[in-house]
Amino acid sequence: MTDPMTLDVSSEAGRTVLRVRGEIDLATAPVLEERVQQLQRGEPLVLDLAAVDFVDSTGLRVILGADTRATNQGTSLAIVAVDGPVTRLFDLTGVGSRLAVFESIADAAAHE
Amino acid sequence: MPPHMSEPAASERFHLELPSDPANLATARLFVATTARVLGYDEDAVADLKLAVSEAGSAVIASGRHETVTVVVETTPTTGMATVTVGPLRPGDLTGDHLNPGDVILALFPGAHIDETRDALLIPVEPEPAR
Repeated sequence: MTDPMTLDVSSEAGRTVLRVRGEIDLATAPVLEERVQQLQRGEPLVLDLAAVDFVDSTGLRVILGADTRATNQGTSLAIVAVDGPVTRLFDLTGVGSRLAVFESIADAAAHE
Repeated sequence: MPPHMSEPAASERFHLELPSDPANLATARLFVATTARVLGYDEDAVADLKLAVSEAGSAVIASGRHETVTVVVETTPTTGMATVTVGPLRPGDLTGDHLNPGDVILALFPGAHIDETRDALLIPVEPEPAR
């Protein structure tokens, strides 16, 4: 059985990128939350959600928490998401306008 | 029955009961997705149902009051409607801090409501338009 969610960390275009694949829900969100907190310690982060197959409000809370943490730390959080479940949930809840959302890592890395 | 009358289509009922564990939410989503596809719903509707069932199932688990989560999909041949039921749930179970699972469900399915006699969330799903 494949893992419901996988996380890969890399450095691209001078930014730390956390790439998430699979499903973010009540079962997997705590794992994502912990990894994001580890990576965010005073550093900007690109959260690549382009390969996320499913996300619900549990996952959205993690994303919003990461955005608030970035603001409080004086850094930035950039989200990479293309048309799919992530942007669908952003639209449904109206939170998309509060987040820095980009279509590619290159676009996100270029954002200051 | 007179020969010019056809036999009414039978209703269909699909039932899933799982231990109240976050690891089982993926199975609940797979169940509702598979059932919706069998009933002829398109992928947009399937995605919406997966999200609604995940929100409701998470609320059952988060309530901490129940050992199992139940998901039922039923069809009503006379209207072409399907109803997805998730429980056990009470009205207060779908509220949260700043992001309510109930708001997500209502944004997807405005007719969704808690039926207190059944102790469950009922999600009426419109039939797919004829193609």
